[in-house]
Amino acid sequence: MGYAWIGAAAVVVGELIFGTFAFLWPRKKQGKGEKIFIAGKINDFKIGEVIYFRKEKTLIQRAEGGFLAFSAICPHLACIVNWNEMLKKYECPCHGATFNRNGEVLEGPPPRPLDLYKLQIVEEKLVVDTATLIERKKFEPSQVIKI
Amino acid sequence: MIKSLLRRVSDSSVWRSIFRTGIPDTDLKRSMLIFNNFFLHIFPAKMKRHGLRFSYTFCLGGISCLLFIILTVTGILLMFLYTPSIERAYFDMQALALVLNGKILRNLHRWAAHGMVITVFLHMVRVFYTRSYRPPREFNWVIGILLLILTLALSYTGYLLPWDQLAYWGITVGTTIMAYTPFIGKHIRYFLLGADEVGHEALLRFYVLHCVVLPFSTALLMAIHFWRVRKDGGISGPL
Amino acid sequence: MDKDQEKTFIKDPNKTYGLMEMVDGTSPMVEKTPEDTVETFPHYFILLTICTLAVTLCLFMISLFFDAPLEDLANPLVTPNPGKAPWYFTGIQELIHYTDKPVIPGIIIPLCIIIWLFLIPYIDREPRTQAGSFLNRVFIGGEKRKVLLVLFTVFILGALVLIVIGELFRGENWNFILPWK
Repeated sequence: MGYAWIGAAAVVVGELIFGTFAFLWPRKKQGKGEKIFIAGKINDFKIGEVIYFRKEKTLIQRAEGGFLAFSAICPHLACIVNWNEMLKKYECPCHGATFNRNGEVLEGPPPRPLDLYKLQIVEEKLVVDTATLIERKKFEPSQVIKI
Repeated sequence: MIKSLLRRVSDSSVWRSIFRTGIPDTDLKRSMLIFNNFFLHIFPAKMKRHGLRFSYTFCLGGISCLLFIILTVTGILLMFLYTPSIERAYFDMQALALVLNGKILRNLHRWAAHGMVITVFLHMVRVFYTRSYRPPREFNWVIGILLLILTLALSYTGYLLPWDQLAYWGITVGTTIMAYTPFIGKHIRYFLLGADEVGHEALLRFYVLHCVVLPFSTALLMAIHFWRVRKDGGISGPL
Repeated sequence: MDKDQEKTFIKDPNKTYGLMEMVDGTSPMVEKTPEDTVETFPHYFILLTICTLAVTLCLFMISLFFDAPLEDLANPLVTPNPGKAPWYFTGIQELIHYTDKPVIPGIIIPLCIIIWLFLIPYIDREPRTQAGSFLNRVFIGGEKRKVLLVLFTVFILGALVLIVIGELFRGENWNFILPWK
């Protein structure tokens, strides 16, 4: 009989805790608006140039053979990285990480290179899909989207 | 003249109905004064002389408690002028400067919060070096560590509320570190922020934690902490 | 024993108890050795009042002359440079800067320190068994708790040094700077 009481108490307490968590568990947000944006025409970019799209948190770089679309969110602790035009590298202000022009880690703590967004070239226009994040181990030439 | 007036007042039936004891001029009355007062009854009637030595306790626990009281009072006052929404929080902060005493209340709250982190930590250091955690005070040390964690949590949740750059990025980085916890990290962050990023849900959650949940837990643990100090034999003796 | 005391402490052979000592005091405590106690009121309340007033006054002075910082409106699109944690976490931030696995300084080390702090009173006690005595010597360092003292002091100094470095000696992009320049 004693066990029955303990069991009942455990069930009630467990239900209360579970119920509280279930109540507080955030609801999924539905549709965060447009995930795809058009960055511009191919000819708008000069070779070697990096342009930051603030609202989309995207860095688009015109490399030698094509384009790269980086997510500006640092893969380390989610700060926003900046392109340093003088030193030709990306810098993260939070923990002092730097990345080379291909997004690979030069110094500092990030566990992987800058993430890429899916980039397509449709009718001479750059179409970036910020819903598709590509995590990578290192830079490979195939990641550059050819014109 | 004044003395006889005082005696008249303290002997009157109205005074006696509120404060049972008269002027505490004997040891018995001094003890009764403490026993019969709601606010003083947490103190013992008599204390060990070494417990009063400033160079032993440095009053650190007491100062922490005092800062908590100041934080509660200023915090409640600030709550009257604050809206936990990302549209208004920051501008409510700016508007505080226009309110009479608004700025000084915010300053008091901020500096007292920093002070409390320092005094609670130093209190732990003091207790360690005087070796006051030894039996029978083991469990009170554990409660003390919990209070230190709660103090940090209080300070950290309050950090987001002004909704300025410092707050936003401090919380972004902090919660991303939490997300690195193996297995459940992502879920912890999601649960704490109420969304994938720091936004309105996070502000509301931190507001409720900062103003209700954490202060209540802290006050409860403080009550147990003080009660146990008494039960475990008062302030510990010197080594 | 002089004659005066012999009169007071008469030993009655028929009784198993007798008067042993006389203590001058006003305490109602019985069956306990006399303690060095004083009345809480007023001795303690004087200290309490002075402390309260001094701390409140200091806080008011600080609040009058130093304003709490309020930076620009939160902007998810721009990270301030340098982006610093609150001062009590800059030590952890400084450690995170050195490693590519933030979980170690961010989660594991604080968790270990907290667990160790919780355990201190349970490992620093009189050993009862042989194994307990051995563990005591390893983790505490015997009766004088030398090991524990060194560990705790290292913890405090380490936290202090890391916080000072993180707070004062780190500038843009978390580069090393000298605060007086």
